[in-house]
Amino acid sequence: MDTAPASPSGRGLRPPTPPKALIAIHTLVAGAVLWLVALSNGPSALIAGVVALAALGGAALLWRRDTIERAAAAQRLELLFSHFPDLLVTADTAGHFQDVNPVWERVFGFTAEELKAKPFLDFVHPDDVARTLRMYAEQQEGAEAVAFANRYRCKDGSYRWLEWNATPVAAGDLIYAMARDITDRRAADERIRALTAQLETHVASLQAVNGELEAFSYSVSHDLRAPLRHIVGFADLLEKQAAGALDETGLRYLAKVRAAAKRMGQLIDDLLAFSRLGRAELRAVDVPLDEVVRSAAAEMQEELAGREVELRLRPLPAVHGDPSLLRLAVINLLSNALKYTRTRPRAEIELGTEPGDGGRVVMYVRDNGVGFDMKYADKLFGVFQRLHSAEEFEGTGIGLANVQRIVHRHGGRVWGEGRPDAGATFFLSLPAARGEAAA
Amino acid sequence: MIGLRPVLIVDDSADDVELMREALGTFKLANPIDVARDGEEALRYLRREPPFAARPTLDPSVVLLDLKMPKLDGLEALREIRADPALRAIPIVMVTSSREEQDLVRSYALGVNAYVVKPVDFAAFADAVQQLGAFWAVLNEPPPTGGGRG
Repeated sequence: MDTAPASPSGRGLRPPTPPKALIAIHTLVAGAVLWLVALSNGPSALIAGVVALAALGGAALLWRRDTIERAAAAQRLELLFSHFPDLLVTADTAGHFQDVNPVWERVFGFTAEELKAKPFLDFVHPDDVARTLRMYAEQQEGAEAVAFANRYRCKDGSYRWLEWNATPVAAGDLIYAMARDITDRRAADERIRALTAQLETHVASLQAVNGELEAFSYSVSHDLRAPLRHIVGFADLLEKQAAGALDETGLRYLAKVRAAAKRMGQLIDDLLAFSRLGRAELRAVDVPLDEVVRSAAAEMQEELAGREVELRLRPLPAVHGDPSLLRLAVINLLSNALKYTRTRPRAEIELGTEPGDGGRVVMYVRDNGVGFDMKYADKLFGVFQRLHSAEEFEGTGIGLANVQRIVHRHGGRVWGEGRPDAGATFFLSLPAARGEAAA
Repeated sequence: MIGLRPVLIVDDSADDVELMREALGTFKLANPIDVARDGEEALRYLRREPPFAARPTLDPSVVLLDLKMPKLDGLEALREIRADPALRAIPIVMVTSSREEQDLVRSYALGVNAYVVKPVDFAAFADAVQQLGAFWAVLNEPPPTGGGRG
């Protein structure tokens, strides 16, 4: 049947090639018969004799070639067996190794004779004996062993892990098996498992800390704001109902109470917004920076009103990031630049990029404002850190902290350069676009 | 007797309650103002359980519910009210200091009618409370008392 699928075992599918020895024997017999015909002295005796001689000669030749080829094949098999990099073995049904290749001696230190002298179970780790026996019994029933692992003892008493693949072969009741030393791999796996477990513990504790922070900011949001509202509320009511009874100093104190409470409210709101920035999900896509900048600038119309500002926008590449967070960072930087150029008759603000390394885009925002002293550069990005008094320039000092948090969340870096009274430049490194379509 | 429906303030902070009363008083709201100090008291009030067994028959025109309170908090009280067939139609407005997204999401999921963040500034706070009073106690047509039943 031509269309019949190959039998799964593969056995019996190979057509038996007549061995040269068989042909030689047939030829020899034919030659012998012809020789007898030749001896019979009949009319064709001479022809039969010649043919018989040729046949006998051919048979001898074939016989010899067969012997040579068999020897070569045996030698190839022997070479394969002795040079194979994995552990090869045959085992009999009585539980002894029959043949082991030289790798065994290299791995375990026992000679082939030592290994064959005792039942192989003697070498198996006591904890693995039961499993090994089960597997051995199954193989004698005809099952194949695939990736079965157990430990064998070395001459020095240590154990090595072996991974077995074995096929029972009906003929001769032997089991043909190949094993690989997986001790190092198992140790590496074990290390990976340990590291993974360690990492999971870290993640769990980070999550716990994060949860505590969230509870903290929630509490800040609710519990700190309430008494603040009461201070402002009752100060207002006091002013409304007792203004007549208060002198100028009293009214000034009351105004100070309200202003201080209001400022604290602003600080709380800023702190909450900052904490939310750290928690917000990062939805990174390829996004053209000039689009981000244009949309940020559009939002600043109110701050630009009544100011003479030259906003120079250099061509900007695309980056890979969260558009709304990046927009927030640019708004913070532009708003800063506008604030600190307020004392200038004409504000000059430039946005551009510099070549960055390692697939990064470095964007800068440069202004001609009041600048800062580089010795305070490390304080620029701290929460509520300010380099100017609130009287000079209003604000809580959260803007650049927000910028830094956004850039850090993109795996980037932010830094500032400036000189007192000579302007400031802020740089952000951001991941370059990956070449996907922007969402 | 047909009277005005009360406004129920549920808030554990006596200061907040006083400021809200003040704001509603300035606005000259005629409706009576009742107060419960936590979610559990609010439920007793609404279900006429002691010490509120003798409260007027009319259900409140609106419940101004704080979020964070001892015992039963605002969200838990809201859940109970919405699960009670006799109470589920009563308008409820969250009036809270929290603008946390999770609070907004949970409140709306539980069927709150509105969510107002208490402003720190008293003028703004008073204005918010007055607007709430004007809308819910005067302008809004409440469900008929017991309208939620069946």
